Amino acid sequence: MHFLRSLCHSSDVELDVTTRQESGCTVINVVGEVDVFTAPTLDEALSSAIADGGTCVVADLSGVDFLDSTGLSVLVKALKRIREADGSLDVVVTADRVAKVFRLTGLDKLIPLHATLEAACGLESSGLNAENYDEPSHDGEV
Amino acid sequence: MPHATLSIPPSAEHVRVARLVAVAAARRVGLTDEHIDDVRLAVGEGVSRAVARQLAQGVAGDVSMVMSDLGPEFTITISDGADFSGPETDDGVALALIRALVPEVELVGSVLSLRWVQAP
Repeated sequence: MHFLRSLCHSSDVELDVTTRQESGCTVINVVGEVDVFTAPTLDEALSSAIADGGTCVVADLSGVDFLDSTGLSVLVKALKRIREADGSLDVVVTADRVAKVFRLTGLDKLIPLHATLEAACGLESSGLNAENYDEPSHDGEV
Repeated sequence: MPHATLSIPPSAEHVRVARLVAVAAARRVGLTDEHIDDVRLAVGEGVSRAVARQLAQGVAGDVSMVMSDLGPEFTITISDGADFSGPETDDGVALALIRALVPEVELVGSVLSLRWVQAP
């Protein structure tokens, strides 16, 4: 058991989540692996951002190298709440293995994916959806 | 490595260990990098699902994962101790992802088998 715990809690597996304001948006910077164990940390950060009145929220997953369906569920939950406040949720994704999870589940049709934080904040026009995916429908069912 | 077995307690914090071990086994049998990414995600989903099933039913026993290298076939079998086949706790998202990632998937009761066949 000690061996398992040491693997689970080694320094390279901690999910690091920080929140800051940038270009009028609440940017949540996520570094690490988002799975069934760490997803509550991301959920807490997103919930806090929404509770604080953030309606332009960007989840920067450029530092994430693993994301499973639990992480997607957290994002969908946040998307519902942000849409209720007429806000927006954008995601920055750079790792193809992470983008693949969005594609396989069709979530890339609901949440705009961007290659850079500048694009997610609206400072650049291009994004992953525009380049590689169908344009997401902001009217889609969540 | 014809067979290797990992048992973990039914706790979310241990799912990562299963992913690490499965990826190491996949590299050892020579799967491509693309398939290794699929192994990582599929095993993560499968073991998370098994853990969730046991927690939902209050089953304390370990979740087991058996990795089998049988010539061109690489099989990972994930077994949990839950004895019901009710609705999926996540509306079936995990299983849908697994079926999208893995060439051959078989679910019989509480035993989920994932199979990759390597080109000769």
